Amino acid sequence: MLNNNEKPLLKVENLHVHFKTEDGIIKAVNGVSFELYPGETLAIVGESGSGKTVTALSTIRLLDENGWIEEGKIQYKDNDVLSLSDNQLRKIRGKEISMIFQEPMTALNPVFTIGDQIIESLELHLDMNKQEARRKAIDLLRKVGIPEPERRIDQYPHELSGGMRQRAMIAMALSCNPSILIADEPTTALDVTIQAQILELMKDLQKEFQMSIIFITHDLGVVAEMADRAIVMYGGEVVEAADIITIFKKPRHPYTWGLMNSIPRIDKDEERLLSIPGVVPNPLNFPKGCKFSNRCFFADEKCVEENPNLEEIEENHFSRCWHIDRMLREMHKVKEGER
Amino acid sequence: MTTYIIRRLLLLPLIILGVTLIVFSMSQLLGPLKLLSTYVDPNTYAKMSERDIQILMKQYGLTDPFPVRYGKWVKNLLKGDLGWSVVGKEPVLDALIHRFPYTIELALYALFPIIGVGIWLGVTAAVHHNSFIDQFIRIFALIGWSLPDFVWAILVLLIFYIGLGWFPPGNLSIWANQIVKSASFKNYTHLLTIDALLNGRIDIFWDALRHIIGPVIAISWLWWANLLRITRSSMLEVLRKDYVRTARSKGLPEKVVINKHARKNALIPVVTTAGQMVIGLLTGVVIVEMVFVRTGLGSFAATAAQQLDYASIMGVLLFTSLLLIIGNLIIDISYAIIDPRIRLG
Repeated sequence: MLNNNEKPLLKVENLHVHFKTEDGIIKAVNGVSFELYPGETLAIVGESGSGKTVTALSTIRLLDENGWIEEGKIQYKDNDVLSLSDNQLRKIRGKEISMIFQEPMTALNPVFTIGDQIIESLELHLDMNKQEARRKAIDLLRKVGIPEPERRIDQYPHELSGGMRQRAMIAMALSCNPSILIADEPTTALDVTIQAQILELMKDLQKEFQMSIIFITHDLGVVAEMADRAIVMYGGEVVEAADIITIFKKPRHPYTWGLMNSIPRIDKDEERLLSIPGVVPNPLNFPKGCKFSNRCFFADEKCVEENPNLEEIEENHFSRCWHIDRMLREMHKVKEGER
Repeated sequence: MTTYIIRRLLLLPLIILGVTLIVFSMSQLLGPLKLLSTYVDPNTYAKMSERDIQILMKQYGLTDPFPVRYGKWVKNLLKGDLGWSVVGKEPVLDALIHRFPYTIELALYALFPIIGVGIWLGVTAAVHHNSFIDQFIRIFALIGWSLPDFVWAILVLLIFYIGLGWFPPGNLSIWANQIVKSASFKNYTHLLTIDALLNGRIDIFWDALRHIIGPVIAISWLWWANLLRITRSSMLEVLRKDYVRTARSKGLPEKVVINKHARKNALIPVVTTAGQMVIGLLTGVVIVEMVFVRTGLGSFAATAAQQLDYASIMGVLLFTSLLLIIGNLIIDISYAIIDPRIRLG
């Protein structure tokens, strides 16, 4: 799984991303750093507005035109992504790092057949001719579990079901054997049974294609299913980062703990689900200190005034909180209560 | 797709029947005496007595009940008899047939520059959203949109004919007109520029072209504004779509992203406007034809209206309605060609 001796495939350091809006400049991502190692699945977890998608899009500079990377360093293999020319960047996009998106209906172009859209990538990156590309596209569609690929290849996105569309999207993303697949909430828009199938498919394909996955989600259930490591984001910052077992067994940030308590569990007899009070504040007016302070059970004056640093509290486990001790006591009490 | 077209074609006669009913009903609002003028030169009955006029009316069936008159009128329509055109001094149908080619020719020359430039400007404005280029194009559109066509047409005449002497009004110069009217000049298509080339008369071709450029400029600005505004807003909307981001995430060059993935989607609403424009060009560039003293459907309709030539007005109305119906059918079919969701839905 995690092997720190290996060189990371992707290294993001101190990433700051800003957006210009009519109301002012939004600091969507503030100093995010992470590494992605070959073959692993890294989950980026957070609510909408936490900056998780923007972080992922930044790795191939796919921000909307009103957004820009203010500061930071992104290293993919030996490339400094932020200093690449547009042409060099295009050789990475779709070939080395490819993406699948949340809404398979809107992410596929409605006026081209799915075949056309897959073949386009193959012709672009692998210099295939039309016939080779078509054969390969049919293979890919079969691989992602689309029945009758010879017929489906000439269909338009609207003729496929949601699950099939997402499979087609995956086939398109994997067409050039990428080393990194960025999956931005790929199952959120799908039915629960289809979700499970797509996750299973992604795991199988990860083994076959030997790629790393960045899995963006707000769903901790999916994280447990898929990821080796997770970073939890809130307000454009990483609030906790650790391997998946640590995150679930020993959460050390009130936000992570709050997220866990929002997952219903059948093995525990809970009267009601605890949820985090309030909503993510408008990014234009986050609290001055800890961004989570206005929703946090443990927050005091210090939290409101001063933002804690992301500290390594044990090996490879990072947390950004002033009151880990108090939180631990509370967690202990809850556990006692359960007994 | 085929069933869709067949369904639309089956509806066609019904719609046309409706149109004839409306046109005929409207004409009946005129009162029987005015209607008589569509059959008989008003001078012939101007000095007749009331009784003689009544006899004359009876003779033409004007005293019959409405359904009977409508039935007769439709029967005549089917035979191609639309009445006598006072303005054209020939049967209405012949008058329409003789004038329509001039309108077609003007439309043909206006069509391509308008659509090409209009879409290009719209896409450019959207791609350079909020930049100087965008602002410039938007101001250009705003002026074209607000400038009344009779003002702009006169300005064109003023600048390019009176000022520069490049593009004169009319259809042809007098010398060229004489040649065209002569027996040795063969009318293959009735489109002046094309017939001139087919007759091997480059000089007449240039003369006809020179006469057509002014009106084209006069028509273009408004439609450029119209098309580019639709294209721009549609393109802006499409550029924000997820599939455009998907296309970029695949590593496609920006040119392909815009010209292939975005533009094909953005053009779907543009087809309607472009189609309406074609219909508009074919059915009545009335003011431009009047200002440039051109023969054509528009100037024919205007003259007929001025002289209360009811048969001609009804003829033009019927003819343009037909064009409109067929034009809309073509727009709908081209929708289906562009958008697979309509074609297969």
